[in-house]
Amino acid sequence: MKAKVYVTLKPSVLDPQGKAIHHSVELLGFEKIADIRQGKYFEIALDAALSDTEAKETAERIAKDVLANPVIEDYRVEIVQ
Amino acid sequence: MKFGVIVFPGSNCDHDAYHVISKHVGQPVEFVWHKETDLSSYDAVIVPGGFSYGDYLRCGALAKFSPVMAAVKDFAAQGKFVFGICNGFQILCEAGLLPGALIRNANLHFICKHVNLKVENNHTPYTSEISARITNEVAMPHGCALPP
Repeated sequence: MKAKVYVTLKPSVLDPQGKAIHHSVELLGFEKIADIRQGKYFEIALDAALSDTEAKETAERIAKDVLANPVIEDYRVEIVQ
Repeated sequence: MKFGVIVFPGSNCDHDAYHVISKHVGQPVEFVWHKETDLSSYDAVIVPGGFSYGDYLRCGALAKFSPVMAAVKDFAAQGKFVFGICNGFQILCEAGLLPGALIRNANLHFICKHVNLKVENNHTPYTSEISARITNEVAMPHGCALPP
């Protein structure tokens, strides 16, 4: 059982890394790219004995307490078997 | 007044802080390893600069889980002095002892240059003997700052 956690900057927070990447992508000749923002992706391998609810709650707490800074970041958790 | 300088894996300005307190401020000072949980013998604690935990995840994000930080929070709650410098300041923000969060510098550069400082507030224990008009030139290296 695996938890996939996506951590992204809140929409109002400046993302200079995303802007730099966007600029490079434009230099490569891609057009019509409105914006690029960079986030983080984590995989947490969970014990198979956990129920789906326990797995989701555990992963959400890890995301909230460690992986994301709730002042500037949002997070989303997916559980996969 | 007895000072403790916290040392995390990756802290590198702990020696600067120790030197300044010992040789220039002239007060007793000790290094405190991040696994310590007892700060009762200190009057003031310094969280020094550097790259604690390699700046992994976010600057200061992992240091806040070190055993010593629960003691630092209690220490602050007791009204004792906690002073964070550079990465130390980032750690205090991540630990919730200071408000706000840090994001990448807008130009993505790690900035290391001499800057002039102005004392904005000399009604704190750390600045009460500095005239508000004096500026000091200091070297200030950093990769993340508080957004405007």
